[in-house]
Amino acid sequence: MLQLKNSHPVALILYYLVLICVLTLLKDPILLLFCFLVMLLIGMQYLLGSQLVSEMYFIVAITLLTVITTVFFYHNGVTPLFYVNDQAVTFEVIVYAVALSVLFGALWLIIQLIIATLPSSSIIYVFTKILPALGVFMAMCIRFIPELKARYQAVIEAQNAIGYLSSPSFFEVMRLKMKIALESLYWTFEKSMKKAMMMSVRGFSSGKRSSYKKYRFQATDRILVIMACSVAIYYSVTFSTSTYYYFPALKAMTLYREQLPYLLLILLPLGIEWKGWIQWYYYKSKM
Amino acid sequence: MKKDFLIVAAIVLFVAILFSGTKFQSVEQYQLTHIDNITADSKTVTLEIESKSLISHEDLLKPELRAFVPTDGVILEKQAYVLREGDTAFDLLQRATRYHQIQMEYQGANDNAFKSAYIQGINYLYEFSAGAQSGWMYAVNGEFPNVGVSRYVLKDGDELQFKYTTKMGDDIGGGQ
Repeated sequence: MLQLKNSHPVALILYYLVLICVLTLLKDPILLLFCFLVMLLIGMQYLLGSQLVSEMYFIVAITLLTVITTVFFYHNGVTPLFYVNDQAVTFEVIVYAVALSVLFGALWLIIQLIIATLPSSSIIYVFTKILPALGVFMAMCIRFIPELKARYQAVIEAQNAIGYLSSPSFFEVMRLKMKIALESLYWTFEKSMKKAMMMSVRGFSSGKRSSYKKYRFQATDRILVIMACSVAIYYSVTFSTSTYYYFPALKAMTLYREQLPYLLLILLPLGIEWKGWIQWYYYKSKM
Repeated sequence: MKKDFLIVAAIVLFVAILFSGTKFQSVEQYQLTHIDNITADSKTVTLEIESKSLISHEDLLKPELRAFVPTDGVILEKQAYVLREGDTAFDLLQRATRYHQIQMEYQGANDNAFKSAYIQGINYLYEFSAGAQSGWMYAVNGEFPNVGVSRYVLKDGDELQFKYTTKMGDDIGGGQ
Protein backbone atom coordinates (compact mmCIF):
# COMPACT_ATOMS: atom_id res chain seq x y z
CA MET A 1 0.00 0.00 0.00
CA LEU A 2 1.71 3.15 -1.21
CA GLN A 3 0.03 5.99 0.62
CA LEU A 4 2.00 8.91 -0.77
CA LYS A 5 0.99 8.00 -4.29
CA ASN A 6 -2.66 8.09 -3.25
CA SER A 7 -2.43 11.56 -1.72
CA HIS A 8 -4.27 14.50 -3.21
CA PRO A 9 -2.15 16.20 -5.93
CA VAL A 10 -2.70 19.69 -4.43
CA ALA A 11 -1.30 18.52 -1.08
CA LEU A 12 1.63 16.77 -2.76
CA ILE A 13 2.54 19.72 -4.99
CA LEU A 14 2.39 22.12 -2.02
CA TYR A 15 4.49 19.77 0.09
CA TYR A 16 7.18 19.25 -2.56
CA LEU A 17 7.29 22.97 -3.31
CA VAL A 18 7.82 23.95 0.34
CA LEU A 19 10.34 21.14 0.90
CA ILE A 20 12.46 22.12 -2.12
CA CYS A 21 12.37 25.84 -1.26
CA VAL A 22 13.21 25.34 2.42
CA LEU A 23 16.08 22.92 1.72
CA THR A 24 17.59 25.18 -0.93
CA LEU A 25 17.32 28.32 1.19
CA LEU A 26 18.45 26.83 4.51
CA LYS A 27 21.45 24.93 3.10
CA ASP A 28 21.91 23.32 6.53
CA PRO A 29 24.22 20.30 6.07
CA ILE A 30 22.56 18.20 8.80
CA LEU A 31 19.07 18.80 7.40
CA LEU A 32 20.34 18.12 3.88
CA LEU A 33 21.89 14.81 4.89
CA PHE A 34 18.80 13.88 6.87
CA CYS A 35 16.55 14.69 3.92
CA PHE A 36 18.81 12.74 1.56
CA LEU A 37 18.58 9.63 3.78
CA VAL A 38 14.82 9.94 4.23
CA MET A 39 14.30 10.37 0.47
CA LEU A 40 16.52 7.34 -0.10
CA LEU A 41 14.34 5.29 2.27
CA ILE A 42 11.16 6.40 0.50
CA GLY A 43 12.84 5.92 -2.88
CA MET A 44 13.45 2.27 -1.98
CA GLN A 45 9.69 1.74 -2.02
CA TYR A 46 8.99 3.56 -5.27
CA LEU A 47 12.06 2.82 -7.39
CA LEU A 48 13.48 -0.49 -8.51
CA GLY A 49 16.75 -1.56 -6.87
CA SER A 50 18.74 -1.25 -10.12
CA GLN A 51 17.18 2.15 -10.80
CA LEU A 52 18.13 3.36 -7.33
CA VAL A 53 21.70 2.09 -7.76
CA SER A 54 22.04 3.91 -11.09
CA GLU A 55 20.69 7.11 -9.46
CA MET A 56 23.31 6.70 -6.71
CA TYR A 57 26.10 6.34 -9.29
CA PHE A 58 24.90 9.54 -10.91
CA ILE A 59 24.80 11.38 -7.56
CA VAL A 60 28.32 10.19 -6.63
CA ALA A 61 29.64 11.32 -10.04
CA ILE A 62 28.01 14.73 -9.60
CA THR A 63 29.47 14.98 -6.06
CA LEU A 64 33.01 14.40 -7.32
CA LEU A 65 32.54 16.87 -10.16
CA THR A 66 31.09 19.51 -7.81
CA VAL A 67 33.92 19.16 -5.27
CA ILE A 68 36.64 19.33 -7.94
CA THR A 69 35.16 22.34 -9.73
CA THR A 70 34.14 24.26 -6.59
CA VAL A 71 37.65 24.26 -5.10
CA PHE A 72 38.88 26.02 -8.23
CA PHE A 73 36.26 28.76 -8.08
CA TYR A 74 35.77 29.46 -4.35
CA HIS A 75 38.68 30.47 -2.14
CA ASN A 76 36.89 31.92 0.86
CA GLY A 77 37.28 30.33 4.31
CA VAL A 78 39.43 30.65 7.41
CA THR A 79 41.07 27.20 7.21
CA PRO A 80 43.38 26.96 4.19
CA LEU A 81 44.48 23.40 3.46
CA PHE A 82 46.81 24.14 0.54
CA TYR A 83 47.22 26.63 -2.28
CA VAL A 84 46.68 26.16 -6.02
CA ASN A 85 48.14 28.92 -8.18
CA ASP A 86 48.36 31.23 -5.14
CA GLN A 87 44.66 30.76 -4.34
CA ALA A 88 43.60 28.95 -1.17
CA VAL A 89 41.75 25.65 -1.15
CA THR A 90 39.97 25.77 2.20
CA PHE A 91 38.20 23.29 4.43
CA GLU A 92 35.07 25.46 4.31
CA VAL A 93 34.96 25.29 0.51
CA ILE A 94 35.21 21.49 0.57
CA VAL A 95 32.42 21.23 3.16
CA TYR A 96 30.35 23.67 1.07
CA ALA A 97 30.93 21.61 -2.08
CA VAL A 98 29.97 18.37 -0.34
CA ALA A 99 26.84 20.03 1.13
CA LEU A 100 25.92 21.31 -2.35
CA SER A 101 26.27 17.78 -3.67
CA VAL A 102 24.09 16.38 -0.87
CA LEU A 103 21.55 19.09 -1.69
CA PHE A 104 21.70 18.06 -5.33
CA GLY A 105 21.32 14.39 -4.36
CA ALA A 106 18.32 15.14 -2.12
CA LEU A 107 16.69 17.28 -4.83
CA TRP A 108 17.35 14.58 -7.42
CA LEU A 109 15.68 11.96 -5.22
CA ILE A 110 12.76 14.34 -4.56
CA ILE A 111 12.36 14.74 -8.34
CA GLN A 112 12.35 10.95 -8.74
CA LEU A 113 9.68 10.81 -6.05
CA ILE A 114 7.66 13.52 -7.81
CA ILE A 115 7.85 11.51 -11.04
CA ALA A 116 6.70 8.38 -9.18
CA THR A 117 3.89 9.99 -7.18
CA LEU A 118 2.60 12.73 -9.46
CA PRO A 119 1.50 11.52 -12.89
CA SER A 120 0.87 14.10 -15.64
CA SER A 121 -2.89 13.79 -15.19
CA SER A 122 -2.61 14.92 -11.54
CA ILE A 123 -0.63 18.02 -12.45
CA ILE A 124 -3.01 18.93 -15.25
CA TYR A 125 -5.93 18.31 -12.87
CA VAL A 126 -4.49 20.79 -10.33
CA PHE A 127 -3.64 23.55 -12.79
CA THR A 128 -6.62 23.28 -15.17
CA LYS A 129 -8.67 25.81 -13.24
CA ILE A 130 -5.88 28.27 -12.43
CA LEU A 131 -3.09 28.20 -15.03
CA PRO A 132 -3.81 25.47 -17.58
CA ALA A 133 -0.85 26.32 -19.83
CA LEU A 134 1.54 26.12 -16.87
CA GLY A 135 0.00 22.78 -15.87
CA VAL A 136 0.58 21.32 -19.32
CA PHE A 137 4.13 22.70 -19.36
CA MET A 138 4.94 21.28 -15.91
CA ALA A 139 3.51 17.88 -16.84
CA MET A 140 5.73 17.90 -19.93
CA CYS A 141 8.81 18.83 -17.89
CA ILE A 142 8.22 16.16 -15.26
CA ARG A 143 7.56 13.47 -17.86
CA PHE A 144 10.55 14.50 -20.01
CA ILE A 145 13.29 12.56 -18.18
CA PRO A 146 11.34 9.27 -17.77
CA GLU A 147 10.31 9.44 -21.45
CA LEU A 148 13.90 10.07 -22.46
CA LYS A 149 15.17 7.18 -20.34
CA ALA A 150 12.55 4.79 -21.68
CA ARG A 151 13.28 5.75 -25.30
CA TYR A 152 17.05 5.43 -24.77
CA GLN A 153 16.64 2.01 -23.15
CA ALA A 154 14.37 0.77 -25.93
CA VAL A 155 16.74 1.93 -28.70
CA ILE A 156 19.81 0.54 -26.92
CA GLU A 157 18.15 -2.87 -26.52
CA ALA A 158 17.06 -2.93 -30.17
CA GLN A 159 20.48 -1.83 -31.46
CA ASN A 160 22.24 -4.32 -29.20
CA ALA A 161 20.13 -7.11 -30.64
CA ILE A 162 21.21 -6.29 -34.21
CA GLY A 163 24.87 -5.97 -33.27
CA TYR A 164 25.22 -2.18 -33.61
CA LEU A 165 27.21 -1.95 -30.35
CA SER A 166 29.45 -4.96 -30.90
CA SER A 167 32.66 -2.99 -31.56
CA PRO A 168 35.64 -4.14 -29.42
CA SER A 169 36.63 -0.51 -28.85
CA PHE A 170 35.24 0.97 -25.62
CA PHE A 171 35.37 4.52 -26.99
CA GLU A 172 33.61 3.49 -30.20
CA VAL A 173 30.77 1.97 -28.14
CA MET A 174 30.63 5.16 -26.08
CA ARG A 175 30.42 7.26 -29.27
CA LEU A 176 27.57 5.13 -30.61
CA LYS A 177 25.74 5.28 -27.28
CA MET A 178 26.16 9.05 -27.29
CA LYS A 179 24.66 9.15 -30.77
CA ILE A 180 21.67 7.12 -29.53
CA ALA A 181 21.32 9.39 -26.48
CA LEU A 182 21.26 12.45 -28.72
CA GLU A 183 18.68 10.88 -31.01
CA SER A 184 16.56 9.95 -27.95
CA LEU A 185 16.80 13.54 -26.73
CA TYR A 186 15.55 14.94 -30.07
CA TRP A 187 12.80 12.32 -30.23
CA THR A 188 11.58 13.04 -26.68
CA PHE A 189 11.69 16.77 -27.26
CA GLU A 190 9.68 16.43 -30.44
CA LYS A 191 7.21 14.13 -28.71
CA SER A 192 6.74 16.64 -25.89
CA MET A 193 6.12 19.47 -28.35
CA LYS A 194 3.64 17.37 -30.32
CA LYS A 195 1.87 16.29 -27.15
CA ALA A 196 1.65 19.89 -25.93
CA MET A 197 0.13 20.92 -29.27
CA MET A 198 -2.30 17.99 -29.20
CA MET A 199 -3.40 18.85 -25.67
CA SER A 200 -3.83 22.48 -26.65
CA VAL A 201 -5.98 21.45 -29.65
CA ARG A 202 -8.09 19.24 -27.40
CA GLY A 203 -8.78 22.22 -25.18
CA PHE A 204 -6.61 21.43 -22.16
CA SER A 205 -5.03 24.90 -22.21
CA SER A 206 -8.37 26.72 -22.47
CA GLY A 207 -9.16 26.21 -18.80
CA LYS A 208 -12.65 25.01 -19.66
CA ARG A 209 -11.85 21.35 -19.84
CA SER A 210 -11.57 19.18 -16.76
CA SER A 211 -9.74 15.88 -16.55
CA TYR A 212 -12.79 14.22 -14.94
CA LYS A 213 -10.63 12.73 -12.27
CA LYS A 214 -11.89 12.55 -8.73
CA TYR A 215 -9.52 13.01 -5.83
CA ARG A 216 -10.60 12.86 -2.22
CA PHE A 217 -8.99 15.16 0.30
CA GLN A 218 -8.12 12.75 3.10
CA ALA A 219 -6.77 13.28 6.62
CA THR A 220 -3.15 12.71 5.49
CA ASP A 221 -3.60 15.36 2.81
CA ARG A 222 -4.80 17.83 5.40
CA ILE A 223 -1.72 17.04 7.51
CA LEU A 224 0.54 17.56 4.48
CA VAL A 225 -1.02 20.94 3.70
CA ILE A 226 -1.03 22.16 7.31
CA MET A 227 2.59 21.06 7.80
CA ALA A 228 3.80 22.64 4.54
CA CYS A 229 2.03 25.95 5.27
CA SER A 230 3.21 26.04 8.90
CA VAL A 231 6.85 25.41 7.94
CA ALA A 232 6.67 28.04 5.18
CA ILE A 233 5.39 30.61 7.71
CA TYR A 234 7.92 29.46 10.33
CA TYR A 235 10.77 29.84 7.83
CA SER A 236 9.65 33.30 6.74
CA VAL A 237 9.72 34.42 10.41
CA THR A 238 13.01 32.77 11.43
CA PHE A 239 15.04 32.73 8.18
CA SER A 240 17.67 35.20 9.41
CA THR A 241 18.71 32.97 12.31
CA SER A 242 18.03 29.54 10.85
CA THR A 243 19.89 29.94 7.54
CA TYR A 244 23.22 28.13 7.64
CA TYR A 245 26.43 29.84 6.52
CA TYR A 246 29.72 28.32 5.36
CA PHE A 247 31.91 31.41 5.01
CA PRO A 248 34.20 32.73 6.33
CA ALA A 249 33.91 30.14 9.14
CA LEU A 250 31.43 27.27 9.32
CA LYS A 251 28.42 27.78 11.57
CA ALA A 252 28.32 25.13 14.31
CA MET A 253 26.91 21.87 12.96
CA THR A 254 24.46 20.88 15.65
CA LEU A 255 20.83 19.95 15.85
CA TYR A 256 18.83 22.44 17.87
CA ARG A 257 15.19 22.76 18.86
CA GLU A 258 14.46 25.42 16.23
CA GLN A 259 15.12 22.85 13.49
CA LEU A 260 12.37 20.51 14.70
CA PRO A 261 9.69 21.80 12.27
CA TYR A 262 12.03 21.17 9.33
CA LEU A 263 12.84 17.67 10.57
CA LEU A 264 9.12 16.92 10.88
CA LEU A 265 8.50 18.26 7.38
CA ILE A 266 11.20 15.96 5.97
CA LEU A 267 9.95 12.96 7.98
CA LEU A 268 6.29 13.43 7.08
CA PRO A 269 6.18 11.36 3.84
CA LEU A 270 8.03 8.54 5.59
CA GLY A 271 5.43 8.64 8.37
CA ILE A 272 2.64 8.51 5.78
CA GLU A 273 4.30 5.54 4.08
CA TRP A 274 4.77 3.70 7.38
CA LYS A 275 1.16 4.40 8.32
CA GLY A 276 0.20 2.75 5.02
CA TRP A 277 2.36 -0.28 5.74
CA ILE A 278 1.04 -0.69 9.29
CA GLN A 279 -2.54 -0.38 8.05
CA TRP A 280 -1.86 -2.98 5.37
CA TYR A 281 -0.31 -5.35 7.91
CA TYR A 282 -3.35 -5.21 10.18
CA TYR A 283 -5.76 -5.59 7.26
CA LYS A 284 -3.97 -8.78 6.40
CA SER A 285 -3.93 -10.11 9.93
CA LYS A 286 -7.72 -9.73 10.25
CA MET A 287 -8.45 -11.77 7.13
CA MET B 1 41.89 -1.30 -29.42
CA LYS B 2 44.66 0.79 -30.96
CA LYS B 3 42.20 3.66 -31.14
CA ASP B 4 41.36 3.20 -27.44
CA PHE B 5 45.03 3.34 -26.52
CA LEU B 6 45.51 6.57 -28.50
CA ILE B 7 42.50 8.20 -26.83
CA VAL B 8 43.71 7.22 -23.33
CA ALA B 9 47.19 8.56 -24.17
CA ALA B 10 45.68 11.83 -25.39
CA ILE B 11 43.64 12.19 -22.17
CA VAL B 12 46.71 11.48 -20.00
CA LEU B 13 48.72 14.05 -22.00
CA PHE B 14 45.97 16.65 -21.62
CA VAL B 15 45.78 16.12 -17.83
CA ALA B 16 49.58 16.28 -17.58
CA ILE B 17 49.69 19.58 -19.50
CA LEU B 18 46.87 20.96 -17.36
CA PHE B 19 48.60 20.09 -14.11
CA SER B 20 52.08 21.09 -15.25
CA GLY B 21 50.83 24.69 -15.37
CA THR B 22 49.31 24.39 -11.90
CA LYS B 23 51.33 25.36 -8.86
CA PHE B 24 50.52 23.45 -5.68
CA GLN B 25 51.84 24.81 -2.36
CA SER B 26 51.36 23.89 1.27
CA VAL B 27 50.19 26.63 3.65
CA GLU B 28 53.72 26.94 5.06
CA GLN B 29 55.27 27.22 1.60
CA TYR B 30 52.77 29.86 0.59
CA GLN B 31 53.34 31.98 3.67
CA LEU B 32 57.15 31.84 3.38
CA THR B 33 57.35 35.13 1.53
CA HIS B 34 60.49 37.18 1.60
CA ILE B 35 60.05 40.89 2.25
CA ASP B 36 63.27 42.73 1.32
CA ASN B 37 65.00 44.66 4.08
CA ILE B 38 64.93 48.40 3.59
CA THR B 39 68.43 49.84 3.14
CA ALA B 40 69.63 53.41 2.59
CA ASP B 41 69.50 53.09 -1.20
CA SER B 42 66.23 51.12 -1.38
CA LYS B 43 63.29 52.48 -3.32
CA THR B 44 60.22 52.22 -1.12
CA VAL B 45 56.44 52.53 -1.24
CA THR B 46 53.93 52.45 1.59
CA LEU B 47 50.86 50.26 1.80
CA GLU B 48 47.77 50.50 3.97
CA ILE B 49 44.62 48.35 3.91
CA GLU B 50 41.53 49.68 5.64
CA SER B 51 37.80 49.18 5.92
CA LYS B 52 36.92 52.36 7.86
CA SER B 53 33.79 52.83 5.74
CA LEU B 54 32.26 49.88 7.58
CA ILE B 55 32.71 51.37 11.04
CA SER B 56 29.30 52.48 12.27
CA HIS B 57 27.83 50.78 9.15
CA GLU B 58 28.31 47.24 10.34
CA ASP B 59 24.59 46.58 9.94
CA LEU B 60 25.30 46.40 6.21
CA LEU B 61 27.27 43.21 6.80
CA LYS B 62 25.93 39.78 7.61
CA PRO B 63 26.45 38.96 11.33
CA GLU B 64 29.08 36.32 10.59
CA LEU B 65 31.28 38.92 8.84
CA ARG B 66 31.23 41.62 11.50
CA ALA B 67 34.03 39.97 13.48
CA PHE B 68 36.38 40.58 10.55
CA VAL B 69 36.09 44.37 10.68
CA PRO B 70 38.80 45.68 13.04
CA THR B 71 37.59 48.16 15.68
CA ASP B 72 39.59 51.00 14.07
CA GLY B 73 38.93 49.70 10.55
CA VAL B 74 42.63 49.23 9.79
CA ILE B 75 43.44 45.75 8.45
CA LEU B 76 47.09 46.51 7.68
CA GLU B 77 48.69 49.61 9.14
CA LYS B 78 50.62 51.96 6.87
CA GLN B 79 54.03 50.45 6.39
CA ALA B 80 56.97 50.88 3.99
CA TYR B 81 58.01 48.09 1.62
CA VAL B 82 60.92 47.77 -0.77
CA LEU B 83 59.88 48.50 -4.34
CA ARG B 84 61.13 45.89 -6.79
CA GLU B 85 61.68 46.62 -10.47
CA GLY B 86 58.35 46.70 -12.34
CA ASP B 87 56.24 46.17 -9.23
CA THR B 88 52.54 46.86 -9.77
CA ALA B 89 50.04 47.76 -7.03
CA PHE B 90 48.82 44.18 -7.18
CA ASP B 91 52.31 42.69 -6.77
CA LEU B 92 52.88 44.70 -3.61
CA LEU B 93 49.46 43.86 -2.20
CA GLN B 94 49.98 40.15 -2.83
CA ARG B 95 53.45 40.19 -1.26
CA ALA B 96 52.26 42.06 1.83
CA THR B 97 49.13 39.99 2.40
CA ARG B 98 51.09 36.77 2.08
CA TYR B 99 53.75 38.01 4.47
CA HIS B 100 51.25 39.24 7.08
CA GLN B 101 48.96 36.22 6.54
CA ILE B 102 45.98 38.32 5.56
CA GLN B 103 43.42 36.49 3.43
CA MET B 104 43.09 37.84 -0.11
CA GLU B 105 41.20 36.50 -3.12
CA TYR B 106 41.46 37.87 -6.62
CA GLN B 107 40.42 37.21 -10.16
CA GLY B 108 43.39 36.70 -12.46
CA ALA B 109 44.18 39.15 -15.26
CA ASN B 110 43.33 36.53 -17.90
CA ASP B 111 39.91 35.89 -16.41
CA ASN B 112 38.29 39.23 -17.21
CA ALA B 113 37.88 41.67 -20.09
CA PHE B 114 40.06 44.37 -18.46
CA LYS B 115 43.23 42.27 -18.58
CA SER B 116 43.96 43.23 -14.98
CA ALA B 117 43.73 41.37 -11.69
CA TYR B 118 40.57 42.21 -9.74
CA ILE B 119 40.52 42.17 -5.95
CA GLN B 120 37.47 40.20 -4.85
CA GLY B 121 38.06 40.07 -1.10
CA ILE B 122 40.56 40.99 1.60
CA ASN B 123 40.31 39.70 5.18
CA TYR B 124 37.05 37.87 4.27
CA LEU B 125 35.35 41.15 3.28
CA TYR B 126 34.26 40.60 -0.30
CA GLU B 127 32.69 42.62 -3.06
CA PHE B 128 28.93 42.92 -2.34
CA SER B 129 29.47 41.87 1.31
CA ALA B 130 28.01 45.23 2.37
CA GLY B 131 25.49 45.79 -0.39
CA ALA B 132 25.37 46.00 -4.16
CA GLN B 133 27.78 48.98 -4.33
CA SER B 134 30.45 47.61 -2.02
CA GLY B 135 33.93 46.34 -2.82
CA TRP B 136 37.63 47.17 -2.77
CA MET B 137 39.22 50.24 -4.42
CA TYR B 138 42.78 51.43 -4.43
CA ALA B 139 44.34 54.87 -4.26
CA VAL B 140 47.89 56.00 -5.00
CA ASN B 141 48.97 59.24 -3.32
CA GLY B 142 45.31 59.95 -2.54
CA GLU B 143 44.15 59.61 -6.16
CA PHE B 144 42.06 56.72 -7.48
CA PRO B 145 43.71 55.55 -10.74
CA ASN B 146 41.45 54.62 -13.61
CA VAL B 147 43.37 51.44 -14.47
CA GLY B 148 43.29 47.94 -13.07
CA VAL B 149 45.36 47.14 -9.99
CA SER B 150 47.83 44.88 -11.83
CA ARG B 151 48.38 47.45 -14.59
CA TYR B 152 49.45 50.30 -12.32
CA VAL B 153 53.24 50.33 -12.06
CA LEU B 154 54.43 51.86 -8.78
CA LYS B 155 57.28 54.31 -8.44
CA ASP B 156 59.56 55.30 -5.60
CA GLY B 157 57.75 57.09 -2.75
CA ASP B 158 54.20 56.17 -3.78
CA GLU B 159 51.63 55.80 -1.02
CA LEU B 160 49.31 52.91 -1.85
CA GLN B 161 46.01 52.40 -0.03
CA PHE B 162 43.33 49.73 -0.40
CA LYS B 163 39.98 50.92 0.89
CA TYR B 164 36.66 49.19 1.28
CA THR B 165 33.74 51.16 -0.13
CA THR B 166 30.03 50.66 0.44
CA LYS B 167 28.90 53.31 -2.11
CA MET B 168 30.96 52.78 -5.27
CA GLY B 169 33.70 55.01 -3.88
CA ASP B 170 31.53 58.00 -2.85
CA ASP B 171 32.15 57.31 0.85
CA ILE B 172 35.94 57.15 0.49
CA GLY B 173 36.50 60.04 -1.93
CA GLY B 174 36.78 57.87 -5.01
CA GLY B 175 33.39 58.45 -6.63
CA GLN B 176 33.11 59.12 -10.35
